[in-house]
Amino acid sequence: MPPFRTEAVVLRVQDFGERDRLVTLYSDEMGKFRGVAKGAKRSRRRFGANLDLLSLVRVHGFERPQRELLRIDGADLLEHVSNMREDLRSFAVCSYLAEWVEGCTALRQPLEGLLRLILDTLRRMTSDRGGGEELLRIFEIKTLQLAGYAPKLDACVACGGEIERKGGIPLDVGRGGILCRRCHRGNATGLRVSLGTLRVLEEARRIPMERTHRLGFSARSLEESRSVTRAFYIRHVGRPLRSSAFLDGVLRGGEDISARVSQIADRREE
Amino acid sequence: MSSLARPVEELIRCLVRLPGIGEKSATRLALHMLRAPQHEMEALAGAILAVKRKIRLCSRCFNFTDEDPCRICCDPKRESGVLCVVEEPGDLMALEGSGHYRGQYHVLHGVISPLDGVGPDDLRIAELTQRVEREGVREVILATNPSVEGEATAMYLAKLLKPLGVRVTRIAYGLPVGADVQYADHVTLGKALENRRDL
Repeated sequence: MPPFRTEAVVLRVQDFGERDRLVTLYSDEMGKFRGVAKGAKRSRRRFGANLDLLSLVRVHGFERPQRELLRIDGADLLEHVSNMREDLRSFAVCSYLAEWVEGCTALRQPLEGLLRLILDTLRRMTSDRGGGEELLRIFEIKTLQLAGYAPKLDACVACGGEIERKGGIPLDVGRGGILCRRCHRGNATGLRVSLGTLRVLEEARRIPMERTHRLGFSARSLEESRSVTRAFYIRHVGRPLRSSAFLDGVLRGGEDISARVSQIADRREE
Repeated sequence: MSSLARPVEELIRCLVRLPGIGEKSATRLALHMLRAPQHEMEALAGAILAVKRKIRLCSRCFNFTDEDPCRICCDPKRESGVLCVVEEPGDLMALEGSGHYRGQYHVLHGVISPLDGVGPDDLRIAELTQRVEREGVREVILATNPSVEGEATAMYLAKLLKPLGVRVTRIAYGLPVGADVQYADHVTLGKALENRRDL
């Protein structure tokens, strides 16, 4: 059994039998991989809180010949999202990012630069100043690009022709990009995106992460790009994101807690 | 497996589905059952059927019960102004076993877990707020697990309940009794230091 040691982020932890945990991680050397952390459920001594969602850990163990699941013997914590336990927004963001990465990656196929992208996004999203929703859109389009799932946005996906850059531009998720007026004729379905959204998505996937703060997303661009990136995620992964409803709720108003408290207050008055 | 009689094979197959039971344990249990007196095994089968037929959720606290409301909710000796919120009935049993708590309970039946698609509406949270209002609760003790999901659920509940004018507390965390400081992980040690107290 060849040993392994790598720096990885924790994408998911599930109970595995009575004593163990099944851990999904992503590292630049090994790509996405799954392993069994023996005794992690019962014993706090070996893993403790080191396997929290999106923690960066130095993980070691053994590969098992012809078996998908590795044996994980230990995980040393290098970095963790300190406010995830106290801040609902951080918790929602981490859950969403982890699910997104898990969906966009295939087992044992590393994507160059993905680990750094995850860590950069995470640090900015969960910092005290808290990156905004646009950072999530940038992360999504960059991840889709790395995975080879990104939409074609610079020319018609059907004929390669130039797009008439005015009005709502049709985007066909099934075909994988925007359509020119001629190719779109007779196709009433699909999304439409504004020129501003196209520009900002193109820029977002092209420029390095450290320069993305210059990008200006309008409210409309944010809305449209969310529809685009999630539609492409569903197209390639084959299922919708389970964590998106909770994240959207948290970002739009504290998971509607204030609305719920008002409902309770209304009930009292009645 | 093929050397065994078909009913024994079927029994092993059923036992293997139970948590913590592998094929070897299931075979050992099945052989024990074969050798055990008939009346003992009939009592076991009867007990399993009775549990499935008679046990339901208490309409107040959502613990497993055979009578509604459950015995804890009906016990006049228990403190009625204090509510301890737990994830699962198993957590309630553990707290009861400690013998240190004499208030009421509320079982959420899970925690907020976006990765599993579990949101606040999938838990017994609406019923909790109704109880806090109706039963004149003074304090809610949040006893969800110190996992990330358990903490997030506790945080969510605190935000929801505090505006109702109720005292919201969280069970303490840090090093478990009998633990070794040098083997504790960073997060646990950090929490233990944060939550230190005067002696």
